Formats: sequence, structure tokens, C-alpha cells
Amino acid sequence: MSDEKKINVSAEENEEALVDALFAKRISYDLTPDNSRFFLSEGGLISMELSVPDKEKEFFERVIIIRSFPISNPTGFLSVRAPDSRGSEKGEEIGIIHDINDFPEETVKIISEELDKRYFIPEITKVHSIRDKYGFSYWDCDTSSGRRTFIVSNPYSNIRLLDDGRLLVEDMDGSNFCIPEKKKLDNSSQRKIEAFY
Amino acid sequence: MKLLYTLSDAEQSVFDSSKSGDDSERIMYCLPYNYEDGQVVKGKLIITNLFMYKISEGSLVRKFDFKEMTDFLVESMLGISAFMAKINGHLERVCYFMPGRYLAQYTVIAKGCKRISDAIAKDQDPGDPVENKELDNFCEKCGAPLIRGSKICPHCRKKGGSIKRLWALTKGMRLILMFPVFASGISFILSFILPSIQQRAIDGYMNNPDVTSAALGGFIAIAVSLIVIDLFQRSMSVLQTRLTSVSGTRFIFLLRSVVFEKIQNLSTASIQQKSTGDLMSRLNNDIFTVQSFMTAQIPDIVNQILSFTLATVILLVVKPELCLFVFLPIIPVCLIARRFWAKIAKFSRINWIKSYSVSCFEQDVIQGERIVKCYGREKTAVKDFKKYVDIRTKYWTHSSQYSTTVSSILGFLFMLGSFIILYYGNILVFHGNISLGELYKYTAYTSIIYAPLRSFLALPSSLATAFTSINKITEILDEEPEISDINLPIDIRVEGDISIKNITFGYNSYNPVIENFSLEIHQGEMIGIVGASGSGKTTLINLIMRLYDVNEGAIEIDDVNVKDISQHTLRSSMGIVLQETHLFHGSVRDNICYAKPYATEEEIIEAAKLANAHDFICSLPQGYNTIIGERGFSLSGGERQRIAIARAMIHNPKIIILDEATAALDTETEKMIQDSLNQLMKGRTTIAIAHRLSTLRNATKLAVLDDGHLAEFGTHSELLKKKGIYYKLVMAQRLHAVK
Repeated sequence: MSDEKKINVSAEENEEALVDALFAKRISYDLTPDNSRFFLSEGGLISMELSVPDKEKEFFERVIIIRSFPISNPTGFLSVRAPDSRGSEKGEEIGIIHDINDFPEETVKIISEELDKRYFIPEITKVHSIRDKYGFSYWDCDTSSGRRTFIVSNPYSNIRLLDDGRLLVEDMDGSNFCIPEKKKLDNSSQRKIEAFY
Repeated sequence: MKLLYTLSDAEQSVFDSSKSGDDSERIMYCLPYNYEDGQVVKGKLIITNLFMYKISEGSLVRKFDFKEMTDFLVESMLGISAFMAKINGHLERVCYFMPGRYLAQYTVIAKGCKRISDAIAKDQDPGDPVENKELDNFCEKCGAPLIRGSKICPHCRKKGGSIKRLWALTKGMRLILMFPVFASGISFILSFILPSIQQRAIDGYMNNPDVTSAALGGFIAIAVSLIVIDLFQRSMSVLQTRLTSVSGTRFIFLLRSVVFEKIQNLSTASIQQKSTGDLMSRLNNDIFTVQSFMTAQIPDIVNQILSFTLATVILLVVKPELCLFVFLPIIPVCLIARRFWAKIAKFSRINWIKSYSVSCFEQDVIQGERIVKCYGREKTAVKDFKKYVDIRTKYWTHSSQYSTTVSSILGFLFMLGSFIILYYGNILVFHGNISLGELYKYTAYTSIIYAPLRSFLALPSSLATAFTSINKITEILDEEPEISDINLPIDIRVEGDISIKNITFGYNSYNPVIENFSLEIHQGEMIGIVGASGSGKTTLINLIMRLYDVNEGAIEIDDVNVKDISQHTLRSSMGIVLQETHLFHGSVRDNICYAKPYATEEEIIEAAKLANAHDFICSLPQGYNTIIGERGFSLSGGERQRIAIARAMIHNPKIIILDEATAALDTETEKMIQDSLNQLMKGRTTIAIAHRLSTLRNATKLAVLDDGHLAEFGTHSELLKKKGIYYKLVMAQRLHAVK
């Protein structure tokens, strides 16, 4: 009786193992300076070497680094991913960097530069004018990426007040801009953006 | 889609000087790019059949050789996107651009580049550039954004055209529509006569020491005429208001039904693009704005302009120097007033937004009240709400204080002119140049001139609002339905053979959801469609129903292309049960016989029995006459689904389409319905989508979709032997069942 039961259990376990094997996914590691090395690829992208204990060293020609909290925590919880067959970030996760500043200076530099290319949010330093016409709002500003004129559709849903007092503006071209704390701007700029606080 | 932007002269000369000199070289594509090292640049990426040139600010940045390049892809990131290429085996970012504007173009071009590099590798000519018929979101002429979900550029469109289009709708009610203009014209003439009569009264009697009691008759006549004029004016204004409300309601009703009818004829694709909220707001807000513009604002504007010019002309003719005093203060006052006005308008907009956000918050929380309670967050909700209300109150107080103060000041400023006239007029009266009555008359005219000025100041913004709404409405009216019957559509008796021939389709054509897909379904077969969510199952069904037209390939029913079959025949030969069951407001009976309005009661009960719905319908308080739908008797998910199945069965369709049709049912009910469906499916073609594989156990064949491709196709046992995706799914579900 007990033997029979045992066999059943093991058959079930076998099946479970089989299904687990079918749905196997990469294990995502906590990436530290000890188990991972990052360097620039020949094309100026990020390559990576993963060396986890008891496993063979793995080399990735290109990894994609994603900020989990691009707005509230740009340096923490970076998800390092292998590109999928189409080269997008939808591939599997290799691991997570808890804080980039734990890594050596050289790594911090190349990863920060790569991230700045992927997350492009120029800062608005002066607002020249904001005009509303035909349901769009036309902005003319000085930004950290030069003088920009851009159009915001439906300003009240595309402008977000963040918890730390910054304003995040998304325009019709999909560009993002950020307005630092209101007090850092000159008076006339402050008056123009009053409505969004 | 514009893939070949024109080069400026400077760019052209840079390109000419850096060209390879090969005679066969020709420009295939040319797109702008926007960023270089985090700074904005005006760059162009020129792609010829041999090279790729990156030109920025009048100089060549880099030249790429297609011989060295293999793969091309687009990387979409936050606020920026990049076009990438594999150069000498290494992936590299070629240029950065604005995602909202050029993402679609670069995605298409990536394919075009691949074609070029493949051709070069084989030493062939790449042929013609790829094309894409999708429309851009930006005006071709001026580059400004189009009105959302439309093809209209608010800057380039001629405004007269839209108004004419709407004016054409007013046929048959123009008399009523124009009556307010006529009525106010009369009362306006009276308001010019009135001061003259009053002048008589003042000069001839009140201010005349020589007047005797014999002249009393004349005075009474004047008094009576004043009363009559006043009465007449008032009754005219009552008539005007009443007629305006008549023409207003008539117009809005007419416009609404025209727009509603148009929406019914539009294709699913264009409706999906616009979203329910957007369409509803067009049906409600925009139509209302247009109505008030056409029936109230236009007559009003006409009036104001008329009275303004007429009063000015009269004053100019009678006393030109007075006119000078009237207009002298107007210019500075208007300039000041405009600023105040702009600020008041801004405040009122902020106010509107803040109160909108309060009501949004209320709606959000009240809708999720159960969740709030489940997580014990009531106190936080109240706190957050108070925060919203506080902000709102702050703005409200601020803006109302501001606007009351400012409007008093504005009122005073506008009166300034009158004060000057009063002063100058008094001097004239003292010198005996004019009489007291004349002075009274002139001041009356000045106030006629001043009255419209205030509304003129607000005119530009109200016109802009009106034109936006008008554009949105006329855009719907002008839209040609994308899916329409061909000239002589074929009416066939559908038997149920479906063949899908190498189709490609995407909701955005540059991003295909289904690619190179072929499938043969024979009459009477039941095909189960399996696949992960997002693999294109529902899209496939939408295409078979011809809610969308395929981009490439063809779908044939009984060897006739679905595009040649009349839509009515096509859809009436199909019974469809969708994932989300929408029941209309009405009785159970109305809902079941939706597709066959004249079904007999016997047929209705039969259909309900097939769907296993008869028993629970009988237990409803009013049986088949119970009102259901959004505002009616609330049914459970399974009950709704069963009514939807009955609705699909009633007109005896040749093709049955089930999209997760039994997902909300318990296993026992599902089995019962399955059994009755099996009875029904005999001789009919059935296409069923299901996540629960047991639902498909009767399927003749199974099609497994993976990322828009047909990954596996065959019978249950064939697919199990293959040990592919289907095998995985079966194993996983079996394990769940065991647990």
C-alpha cells in the first residue's frame, strides 16, 4: 500500500519536474562587482561578463540596462537584460544592480553614460512663453539640450507633478522635459507654469 | 507615411560633395534626426542604394557603407529613440530621434535598409523603396500636430469650409436661426431712436422754463411712446430668447443624429482609434459647443459688430470730436484689459481643472470603494481628498478675489471715456453749444459703443474653442468609411469554407500583429485557436469577420474574397460570442433576438435552451421580459455569457465564432453548453479561442499561434507528439488539474 503511494508521488514529482523544465527561465542574480563585469562593446554599447559560483562564466555581447524607477530612483535597481530576438529589452533578465555606486568608478561612468543616452529628460531652465491654441499648448523654453519649442497636447494629462516637487512634461513628439523645483526658476518663468502645480 | 524628406540647399550640396560618384547611386529614403550627444541638432539621415549619410548642420558627420552593415533595428527609450545597425558585426547606434514623430518611419526604414543590405550582399539591385500608406500624426505642410485621432491640421485647414459644411445642415431652419439677428436688429434700431425721444423730453419740456400746461399733451405723447417702445423691445427680446432655444434644440438634435449615423457607418478601425471617451465627448461637449456657436454666438457677434459700427458712424456724422474722446481711451484700456482678461481666463481654466481633478478623485475612489475597504485605506482616502479640496479652495478663493477686483477696475476703465465725454459735453452745454438733451443722447450712444467692446476682448479665445469643436465634428462627417462594400457586392449563401491566404496585418501597419499567416478551414470543422495572450488570436477573428481589412494576402469564404461579399451577408452568416459580453439595455427577449428581430417565441426559447439559459431566465422575476443591461437587472458573468450565446444561436449561423465564450462559466455549465454546442456545430464551421484547453477537446484541429505566426497546426494527438508549444500548455494545465 505504502509502496504504491510512493510510486504515485514520485510520478507526480517527475511530471512536476518535467513541467518545470518546460517552463524554465533564467535565474536573475543580484549583480555585484564580484560576480559581474561591464565594459564598452566595439559599437559603444554595454557588454557584460557574468561569473556566478558553480556556474560557467557567461559573456553577453550586448546587455540592455533598464531603470526600474527612472524618475524616483535613477541610480538604484537597474535591471540588466539580454536582448530578445528582435533586439528589444523584452528578453530575459540577467540580474539586478541594487545601486550602481557600489561598482568601480570606471563601470559607473560607462553605465551612467549609457543610461543618459537611453533616458533623455532635458531640464527646463527658463520658460519664454506658453501659448494655448486649438487645444494644444505651445512651449518655448531654454533647456539643458538647447532652446526648444515644443507642443503639449492636453497639458493637464501630459504634465505630471512629482512627489519631490518637480514637473515632468511630455510633448507630442514623445520627448520628456523636467522642470526642477519651482523656486530655482526666475520669476517670470514661475508665473507661466503656475497653473500646473 | 513620408519617408523621403526634402533636403535643404546646404544639405544637398554636402550630399553632392560626399557622394560616391557611382552613377547608379540614388536616394532611397531621407529622414530627419534630432539629437547628437544630448543636444538638439537639425540632422538628416540620407539612405541611398549604396551608402548611408549622416548630415548635420551643413556638414557630413559620418558615411556608412551598406557592404559593412547587416542588421537594422530601432530602439525605443524614454523621451528618445535610436536607429541602430550592425556594422562589421558590432551593433551600434546610428542616430537619435524623437520617438513620437519618427518612430514609425524609422521602423519602416529599418526593413528597407535590411532589403538594401541583403541585395548588396547578393550583388543585386535593391529595387524600389518600401512604401507605407499609414498617415502621419503631423501636418505635411506645416509640421504642426493634427487634431487628435483625425487628419485635420487646425492651422492649415480653411476655416470657412467647415462652417459652410455646418451651415448646409441648417437647411429648413435658417429662418428661425436668423430670426434672432432680425429681432435684435429691430430692438437695436429702437435703442437708437430712444435717446432722440428722450432728448426731446429733456430739451422740450423738462429743461424748458417756457413750457406751459398747454404743451402737456405733447409731453404725454412722448411718455406714452417711451413706454410703448420699451414694451415692444422687451417682447422682442422674449420672442428672440424663445426662438433661439427652439433653433438651438433643433440644431443640436439634427447635428447629433447626423454624427451618430456617421459613427455607425465608420469602420471598427477608425472607431477604435478614436476611443469611446473621445467619441462620447464629441457627441456631447463638441456638439454643444458648436450648437451654441451657431445659434447663439454667431447672431450675437453679428449684432455686436452692427451696433458698434452704426453707433460709431452716427456719432462721427453728428459730433466727430466727441467720437475722438470716445476712442482715445479705448486703445490703452483695451490693451490693459486684455492682460487682465487673459489672466482671468487662465484662472478660470485652472479652476476648472482643479475641480475636475476633485471629481476624478471622487469617481476613482468611489468606484473602487470595495478595494478601499478591503485594504482599510478609508482614512488615507479622506486625507487625500481633503488635500485635493484644499488646493481647489485655495485657487477658487484666489481667483474669485482677483476677478471681482479686476472686473470692477475694468468697469471703471471702460467708463473713463464716458467721463471724459461728460466733462467735455458739460463744457459745451455751459457754453451753450449743445443742449442738455443732446448731451444725454451722446452719452447714450457712447454706452452703445462701449457695450460690445468687452465681448470683443474675449472673442479670439471663444472663436478658437468653437473652431476646434467644429473641426472635430466636420472631421467625422467628412470621413470616408475605410471598410465599405465594393460597387456590386456579392450575396452568397455561405457554406462555411474559410481559407486564409498568407495574410499580414497590424493595427499600425509598421508593427504587424499577424505576419505571413495561412490556414485552411473546411466546412463543418471545429478549429481551436490556442496561444499566449497577445499572440494575435482575437485579431485573427476580427479579420475573418472583416472588422478590419488585411494589409497583405486575402481571406476567402467559399472561395470568394471577403472584400467582395456584402458586409450584411457576411456578418449575418456568422454567430459571434465575444470575450466581453455587452448586453444592451432592454429585456432578455430583445437581447436574444437582436440578430433576428422577428424571431418567434418558440425560436427564442429554443436558442435559450441551447445556451443552457432557459432555466435561469425562467427564475427571473419577469422571465424573458426582465430588463437587463447596464441599468437593469444585474446578472452574473456566466449568465450574461449564456444570453450572449443564445443571441449568437438564434439566426442559425453557418459560421460560429467563439472568443473565450465560456470562460466565465463553471465547469459543469460549460460542459452542458459544450454538449449543446456540439449538437449545434454539426455541419457548421466553428472557430473557438480558449485558454482552458478542455474547452477545445472536440476540436477537429488546433492552431497554435505564436507571436502572429502559425506555430503548430494539427489534431490534438499530432500536436502532443510534436512536443512543442501545445504540449507545454497541455502539460501545465494537466498539472494544475492534478493539484
